[in-house]
Amino acid sequence: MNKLFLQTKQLCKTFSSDGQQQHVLCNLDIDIYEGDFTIIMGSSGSGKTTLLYALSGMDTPTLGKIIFQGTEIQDFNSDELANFRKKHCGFVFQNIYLLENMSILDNVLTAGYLVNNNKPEIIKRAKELFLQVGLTEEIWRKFPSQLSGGEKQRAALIRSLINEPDILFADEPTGALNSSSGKDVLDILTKVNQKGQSIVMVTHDIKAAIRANRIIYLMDGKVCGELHLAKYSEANMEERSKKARDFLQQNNW
Amino acid sequence: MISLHLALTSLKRKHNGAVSFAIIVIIAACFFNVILSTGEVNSSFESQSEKLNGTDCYMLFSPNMYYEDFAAFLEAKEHVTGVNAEDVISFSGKYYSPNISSPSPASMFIQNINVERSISLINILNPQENKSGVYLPIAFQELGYKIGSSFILRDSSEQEYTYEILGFCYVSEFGAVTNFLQTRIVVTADVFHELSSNFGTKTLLNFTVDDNAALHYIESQLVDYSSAYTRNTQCIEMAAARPDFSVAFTLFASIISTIIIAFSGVIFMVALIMAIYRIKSGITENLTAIGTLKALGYTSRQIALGYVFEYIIISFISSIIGTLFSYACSPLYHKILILITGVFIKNTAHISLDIIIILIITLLIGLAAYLSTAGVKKLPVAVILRGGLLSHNIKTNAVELEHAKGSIHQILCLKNWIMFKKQNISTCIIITIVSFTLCFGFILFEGFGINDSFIKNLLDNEITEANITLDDHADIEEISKIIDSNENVLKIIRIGFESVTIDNTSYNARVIDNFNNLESIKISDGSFPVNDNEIAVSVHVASLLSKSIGDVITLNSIGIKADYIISGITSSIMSYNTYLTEDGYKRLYAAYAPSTICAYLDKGYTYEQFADFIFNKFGYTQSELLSGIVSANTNNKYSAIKNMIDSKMIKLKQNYNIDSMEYALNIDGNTVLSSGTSAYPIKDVYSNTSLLAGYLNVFKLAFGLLATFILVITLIIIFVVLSIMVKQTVNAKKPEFGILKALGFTTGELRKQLTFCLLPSAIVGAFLGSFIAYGITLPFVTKLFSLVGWRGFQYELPSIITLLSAAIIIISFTYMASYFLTSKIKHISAYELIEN
Repeated sequence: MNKLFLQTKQLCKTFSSDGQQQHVLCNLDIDIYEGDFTIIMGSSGSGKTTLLYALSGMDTPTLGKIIFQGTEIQDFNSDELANFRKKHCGFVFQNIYLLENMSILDNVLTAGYLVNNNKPEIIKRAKELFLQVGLTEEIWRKFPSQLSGGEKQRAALIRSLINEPDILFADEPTGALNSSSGKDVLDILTKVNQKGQSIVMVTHDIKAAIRANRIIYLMDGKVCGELHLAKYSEANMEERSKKARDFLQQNNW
Repeated sequence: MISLHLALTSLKRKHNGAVSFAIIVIIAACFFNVILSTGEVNSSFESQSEKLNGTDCYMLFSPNMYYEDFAAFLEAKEHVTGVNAEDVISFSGKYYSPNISSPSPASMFIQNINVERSISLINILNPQENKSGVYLPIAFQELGYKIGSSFILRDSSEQEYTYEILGFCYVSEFGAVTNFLQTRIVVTADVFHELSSNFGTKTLLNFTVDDNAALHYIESQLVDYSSAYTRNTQCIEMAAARPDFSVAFTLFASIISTIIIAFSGVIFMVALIMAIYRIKSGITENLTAIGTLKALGYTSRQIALGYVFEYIIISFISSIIGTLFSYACSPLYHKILILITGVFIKNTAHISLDIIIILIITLLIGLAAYLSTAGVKKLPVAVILRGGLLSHNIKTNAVELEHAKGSIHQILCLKNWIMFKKQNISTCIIITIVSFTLCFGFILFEGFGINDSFIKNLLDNEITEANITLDDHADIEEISKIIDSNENVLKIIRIGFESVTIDNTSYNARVIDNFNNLESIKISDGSFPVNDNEIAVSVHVASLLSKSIGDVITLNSIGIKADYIISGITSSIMSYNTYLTEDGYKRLYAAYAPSTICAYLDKGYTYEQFADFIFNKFGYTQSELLSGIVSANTNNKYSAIKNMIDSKMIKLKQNYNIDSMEYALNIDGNTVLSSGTSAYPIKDVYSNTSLLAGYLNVFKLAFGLLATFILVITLIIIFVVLSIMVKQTVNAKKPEFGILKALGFTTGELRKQLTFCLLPSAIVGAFLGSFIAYGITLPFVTKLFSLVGWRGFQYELPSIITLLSAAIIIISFTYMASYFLTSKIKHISAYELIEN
């Protein structure tokens, strides 16, 4: 088993509105291991996205601890969280969220320059990554509104990877894409994971889920099941798929 | 109805933005109303003068030099409509009230409340029966003097007279504490009696005419008549006619009114720019909603009118609130005007004017709104629904990160600046406009309120640290030599204050021994006289005589005439001064001797030290002796008697125009005491620098109030404008900020980006506005003065530091305000920003 990397202890997140409280995450204990491709699944409203945002320091928990590489981050102030995200995290969104007023190269460089002052190095790396995901130089100069959804998501992936983050968070990255584009994105994610990149991904897509080492299933803010797929051969996708399907059916998927 | 419904819905949805815009309209409406309701200061001056039957000309006669025949002489003259003479106390010294101010030098007429007068009536605002005390001009109330507190007069010998302030009064011409002539205060009979026993009385002769053109001629005739009657050319100590001082009073009030009118216009322009900007950016932000409405069948006209109605509603309500505010703000503006002019200005309701202002503001903003909605009409529905994009290939990347220099924050800041260039240009224009007004106010504040050169110029008098007036028979050569021998005296000039007539009109003749030594009196055209047949005159005199340089004028003094060529013109609008060399004046009066020595003192050598020097060299002055303080402080019996006798003799000498008097007191054949008026060659020593400081204090206060007022309003406008701009930017960039936060940008970095994005507009606007103000002030003031008949004046522009300080205030404030306003970002998490 890989090294324990990210951990939650008794994690709670409660939203209040009009005097009513909604407990989205309830005493959640999760361990994420270095180099793992961890999938978080669950029905709508189960707290998947809330968990992802809490783990990535984009939101703060109401109670409980989040421990990243031995450091508790739940009490970080907003600047410390920003610093944490900058140094350790990459993020891919379902709605992509590229900066509309920048070319996609600028989108990537914006993230790169924030961490690394060595501009030529960042530019070189960005271009390499673009080529690796199949985006040509002509596309780099375009604005997000001029690209297809798949191209945009691939650009967003490069933006999240440009700083070689310790962990990559992905919130339904294929949710808004057609199947072909979705597959391309998943291939890239699988490839980077094989190179050692830790990934935590929220998805509803079983095809995406079977690429992971581990599936965590949430229900009503609690972990109600875990499936370790690492023991099944990556070559045998059918077996992986069957196991995943069985696991999800057990959890009333 | 549909459009109105759209407008009301929009207002409900965006009430924050509406409030910011409304604040600007409120301020504009308020200013307009204050200005227009006050009306012309000139007309206030005239109407007050008319109500109180203000004098057209006054003359102050030396003690025992006034005879009733003078009034009869005037009454017989054509155009004279009224004559009134009364005894007044002419007081020169200082006044103050404890806890309000340090003693201010003043020259004032003290009048008896019980005297009945037909000209220059006094209106007591709050009379108190059976009480003893003083009533001060209304302007003193604005300086902080309060009913019931003490008013202290301090004479030249430091003797103090304390009275209770019973109330305030307004008088037609001399109520201002700033006028260059006399301040009038009114006292109860017992106070008048007490003061008159110390200072004596003089006669103030007032008369009115039905034709101002005849005024100076009649005045000159009386001067000639009284001189012949008393056989004394100096029987009239002081004289002034209404047109002269009304110009001076209203000049500053006109400057202040003009500044405020300009400022109102500026605020209104800002309101229009903001209306246009808000509508245009509102259209851009709501393109999808507009597209949807169009798709549903709303016409472009209905949607456009929705915007117009929205702004008409805001403007209408704000103008009403602004108008109501103006009634609360008027007292401050009136305070400034009262301080400077002494004219009593009442707060009155003016509903018809209010309605006109409200309608004009509403209509103009409505029109601006209508013109700004052109964008709604132009775009087809499909384009609007696409967010205004005509095609997918319209964008160009102005700043490519790959090639850009600087940190990521600097580059993003630059990108933001370019992205919001229209907004930044609007901000820049607004800041240019408000900076212009602020700097304009600052420049005038420094020029008129702080820098004394302008007022020196206006007074047309040489302002020196020490002035020594001499007895008629004093040995001026000897005294000059002694004063000059003082190593702390840098230089001296000798001046004679004489009187001449030109074309039967009386003018001042300033006879000066060395024009090269003058520092305050400046020639604006030509040169001071060098030869005995040359003369310089003030621009006012030149205008009255319709003469210019090179023309010849004939001067007359007690029947002797001589021709002089005008060699130069000084720039004072007020003065009746002409300037002659000593030899030049001797052509009219061969026995001329200067009456005053002006001494310029070394830095660090005070007037008080100089006064001690004079005492050591020449003993008491006649003024000190007359005050009684010398004998009161003398313990030795014979010395006290001597002082008393000396003061009585000096009084006799002055009252009866006697050359000199000597006496000896013999007891049993022995001379016990002997002295004479010639033992007191110095009449008085005073500093007109401190007199000038007294004038300046009030100007400083009035212009300071105005500058502070403008500064505060400017900062409020900048803040409101920035709040609209920043709010709009934050709303437009919420998802972008969310993404950047998710990438690891801190709140502080994003706030700085936004703040620095606004800074170039602020810097350019502030400096541009300041430079325009700097360039425009001089021509503006020249034009303003020429409107009141003053040409060729000299006005020094303030230092570049004033310009820079105003610009720096605006830039710093813009930075701080923007940074504060961007704090909104702080409270939004990356998650919320993205999801919103």
